[in-house]
Amino acid sequence: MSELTVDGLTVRFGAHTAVDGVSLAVPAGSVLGLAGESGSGKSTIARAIVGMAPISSGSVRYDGTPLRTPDRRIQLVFQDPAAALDPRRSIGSSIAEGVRAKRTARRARVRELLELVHIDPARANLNPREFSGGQLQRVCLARALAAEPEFLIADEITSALDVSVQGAVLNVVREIQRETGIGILFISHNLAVLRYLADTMAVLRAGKLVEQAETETLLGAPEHEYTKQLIDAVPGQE
Amino acid sequence: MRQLTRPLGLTTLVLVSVTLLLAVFGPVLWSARADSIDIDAMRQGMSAAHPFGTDYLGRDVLARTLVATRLSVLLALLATVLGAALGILLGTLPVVLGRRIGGLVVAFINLTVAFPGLLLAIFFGVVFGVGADGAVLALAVALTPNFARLTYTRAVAVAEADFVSAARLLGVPRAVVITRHVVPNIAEPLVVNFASAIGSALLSFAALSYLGFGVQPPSYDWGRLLNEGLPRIYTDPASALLPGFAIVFAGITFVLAGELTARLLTAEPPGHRAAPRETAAPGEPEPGGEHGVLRVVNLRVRFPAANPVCGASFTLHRGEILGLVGESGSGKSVTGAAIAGLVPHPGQVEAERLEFDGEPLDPARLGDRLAMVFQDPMSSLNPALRVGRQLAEVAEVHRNADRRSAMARAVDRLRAVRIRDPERRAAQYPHEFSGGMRQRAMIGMGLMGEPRLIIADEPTTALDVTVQRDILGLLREVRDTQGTAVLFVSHDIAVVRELASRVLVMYAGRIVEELPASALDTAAHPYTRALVASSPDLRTDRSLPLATIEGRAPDATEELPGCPFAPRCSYADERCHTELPAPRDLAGHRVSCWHPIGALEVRA
Ligand SMILES: Nc1ncnc2c1ncn2[C@@H]1O[C@H](COP(=O)(O)OP(=O)(O)OP(=O)(O)O)[C@@H](O)[C@H]1O
Ligand code: SF4
Ligand SMILES: [Mg+2]
Repeated sequence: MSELTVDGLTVRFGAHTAVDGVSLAVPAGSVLGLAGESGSGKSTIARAIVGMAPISSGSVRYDGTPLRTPDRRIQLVFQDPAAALDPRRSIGSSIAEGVRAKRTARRARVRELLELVHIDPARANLNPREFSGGQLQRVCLARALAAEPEFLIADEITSALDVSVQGAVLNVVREIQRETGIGILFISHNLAVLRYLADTMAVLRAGKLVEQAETETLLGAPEHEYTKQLIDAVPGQE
Repeated sequence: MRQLTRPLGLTTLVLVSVTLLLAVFGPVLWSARADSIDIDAMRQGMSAAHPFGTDYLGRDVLARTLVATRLSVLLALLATVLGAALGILLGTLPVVLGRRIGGLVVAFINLTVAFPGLLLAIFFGVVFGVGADGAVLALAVALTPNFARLTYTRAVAVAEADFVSAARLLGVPRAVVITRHVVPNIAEPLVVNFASAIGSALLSFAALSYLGFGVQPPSYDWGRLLNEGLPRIYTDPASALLPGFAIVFAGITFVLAGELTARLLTAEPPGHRAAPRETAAPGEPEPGGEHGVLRVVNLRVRFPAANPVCGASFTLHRGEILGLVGESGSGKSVTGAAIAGLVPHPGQVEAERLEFDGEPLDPARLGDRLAMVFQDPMSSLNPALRVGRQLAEVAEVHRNADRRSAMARAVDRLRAVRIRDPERRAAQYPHEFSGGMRQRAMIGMGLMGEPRLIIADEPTTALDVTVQRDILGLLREVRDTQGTAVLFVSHDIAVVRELASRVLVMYAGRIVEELPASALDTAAHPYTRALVASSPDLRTDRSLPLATIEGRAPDATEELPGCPFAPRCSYADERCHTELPAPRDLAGHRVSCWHPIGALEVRA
C-alpha cells in the first residue's frame, strides 16, 4: 500500500478557480482530515482525485504513478447516502456490484461487509428506503469496501445525518481504518469530527491550502490566523 | 398495492378491463350486425331493434361504436408506441452526442414541445397524406417532443446521480451501469407518461378521423363515426353522440390508468394512521404568579396522517434563550410553527394553554411582537424586492409608519444587526447578500418592532461556523439590549449548549427532558445522555469509540404504547414498553422516564 499525493492541483470552472495549487500527501494507512468552509473547494478536490472533476493543472499520483480513473483501489463515499444508493435495488445488490467473485462467494462477502459495518446481513434484500440515514451511510461504506480499496475518500459523510446516528458511522470508519490499515482522506467542515478521526489535518480556504500539520498541533497551536478563527468558532466550548 | 383497492384504483381497473374486453371481443361479437346494411331502416332514431338508431345505410350505430373500439384503441396505441420510441431515441441523443450537437438537439426538443400537439398532428397529417397510416405517423411525430424531453431531463438527472458515480468508481462497465441503474430509473416516469399519452392519442386520433385525415371508409373508428353522425345531431342526438361518448370514456380511462400507474410506482410503504390520543398527565399549573412571555401547556399538533407534536409543555421568560433540540422529524419545527400560527392546512393545533404575554395567544394579533427566523433566509426574503423595502414594509403594515420613516428605521435596523454600510445594502436585492448577511437581514426584519419573542428555527444550520458564531452573538445581543425571549430550535446540541440557558429535548413529538444547558453532561434522560455522548466535541477522548444510539426514531405516523424511546433504550424494561412515562421534576430537570439516570429523586 502506498501514498496518495496531490501536487499543485488546480481546478477551474470557467473563470472561477475552485481549487488553486493544492498539494497534499496522505501516507498509506493514515487519515488526513481536510477542513474548510462551504465553497472552499473540499469536494472539488475529492472529485478531481477520482476523475469526476476536470484537472486544469497539477497531478494526482498514487504509488508514485499518475492515477488513471476509475481505479478500484480508490473509492469515494458521498455526503448524502440516500442519493448514493440506487433506490430500486436492494442494498445487498448495490454492495455486490463492487465484489469481484463467483456467485456464492460474492454473497458471503456481502454478508461479511454488512457485518463489518454493523448492519444485520439478514436485511441485505431490503431497499434503501427501509433504512435510516446512518444505516445507509454504513451501507455506502460497505459498498466502497467491496472493491477492497487501498484508499478511501469520505466527503462530508456525516453532514446529512442526525447526531444520534453520526456516532455509529464515525465508529465504523475508525474501526475499518484500524482493522484494514486503509488510507483515508476525510473531508468535513466539522473540526470536532476531524479531530476524532484524523492523524494529520489540512485547512482549506477559498481553494488554497492555508495550513497542514499533525492534528494535535494544528488544533492545539494553530499558526495561521484563519485556522484560529475556525477553532474559536466551534460551538459548545466553555 | 393498496392503491388498487381505493376508489380511484377500482374505478380505473373496471374501466380499463371494459375497454380492453370491448377491443378484443367487440368485433367478434358484433361485426355481422355492425356491417349488415338495411335499406329499409336508414337514418332511424332510437328503437327497440336499434337502441341508438341506424346510420345512412341502416347499420346499427351501437354495434358499430362497439366494434370501432378495437381500431380506435389499436391506432392510438400504435401511435403512442411509435411516438414514445421516437421520443426516447431523440431524448437520448444529447446524452450520447457531444456537448455542441447535443445542445442543438435539446434546443430543438424544447422548441417543438412548445407547439400544441394536435396542431402538429394536423400539420403532419397533411404532410403524410390522408389515411390511417399517415395519421398514425402524424400523431407519433406529434407525441415525440414530450417523450424526448422527459427522457432527456431524466437521463441527465440520473446520469449525474451519486449512485451512478459510485458504480463507475467500483469499475462497473459503462453498458452495465446504463442497463442496471440508468434505464430502470428513467423507465418509471416514462411508463406513467405512456399510459396517459394513450388517452390523449385517442382523442387526437378521433379528431383527425373526424376531420377526414384518419381512417377512411369502409373502415371506421370513433372519429369516423362521429363525422358520419354529427350532421344528424339535431334529429337523432343519441346516435350522433354515442361515438363521442365512447371517445371521452376511453380517453378518461387511459388518463386514469396513467394516474394509477404513477401512484402505484411512487407509492410509499404504507404508514398506518394514528388516532388522536390522550397524554398520561395534563400539564400542571406553573407555580408563582409571574407569567412568562410564552406559556405552553399540552400543545398538540395533528395532521390527518401524523401527530408530530403530542403534548408539549414549557414556559419562556423575558430575556431567556430556550433551546429546543431533537433529531430530524422529532417535531421541533412544527412546535415553533404552532406557536407562530404557521401550521399549514390541514394541521390542527390544540393546547390546554397557549399564552403569549399573559393572554391567550391569537396569531392574528401577534403583529410584530413575535418574529420568526428560518433556516433558509433566501426562501423567506422576497427575491424581487430590495432588502430595505422589505424591512420597511413591516413598519408600514404594523405601525402605520410613513414610507420615509419606515425606510429610516429599516436602515437603522440593518445597522443594528451589524450590516456594514447599511444605506447602500438597503438598496440591494437579497441575492446580492451573502448567506450570513441574509440571515442578519431576517433578524433585522424581526427587530423592526420591539419583539417580545423571536422563534429561530435552525437559523445557523446552513451557515459556516464562523458566520454562525456572529449570528449567535447577534441573538445574544438582542436578548441583552431588548430583553427579547428567544426560542432557539436546532438539531445541533453543541450550538444549543453554547447559546441557551435552558434546553428542551424533544423526541417523537414529546419533550422528554427539560434541563439547564450547563447540566447537559449529567442529563437524567437516557436519550439526552446518548445524544450528548454521541456528538464529538474538541474534548472528546479519541481513544474510545463514540456512544451510539442504534435504530431510528419512530416517525410521527407510528404509535407506540409505551415510552417512545424504548426500542432504542438500553435501560428499557417491560414497563417502558407498555406505559408512557409522565414528566416529573428531578433536581432541576423535568424528565419523562421510568428510570432516570443519576440524579436524586426530589419529588415523586
Ligand atoms: N405539513 C405537514 N403535513 C403532514 N405532516 C407534517 C407536516 N409538517 C411536518 N409534518 C410531520 O411532522 C413531523 C415533525 O416534523 P418537524 O418538521 O417538526 O421536524 P423537525 O424536528 O423540525 O425536523 P428537522 O430537524 O428535520 O427540521 C414529521 O414526521 C413530519 O413529517
Ligand atoms: S422510560 Fe424506559 S425506555 Fe424510556 S427512556 Fe426511560 S428507561 Fe428508556
Ligand atoms: Mg425543522
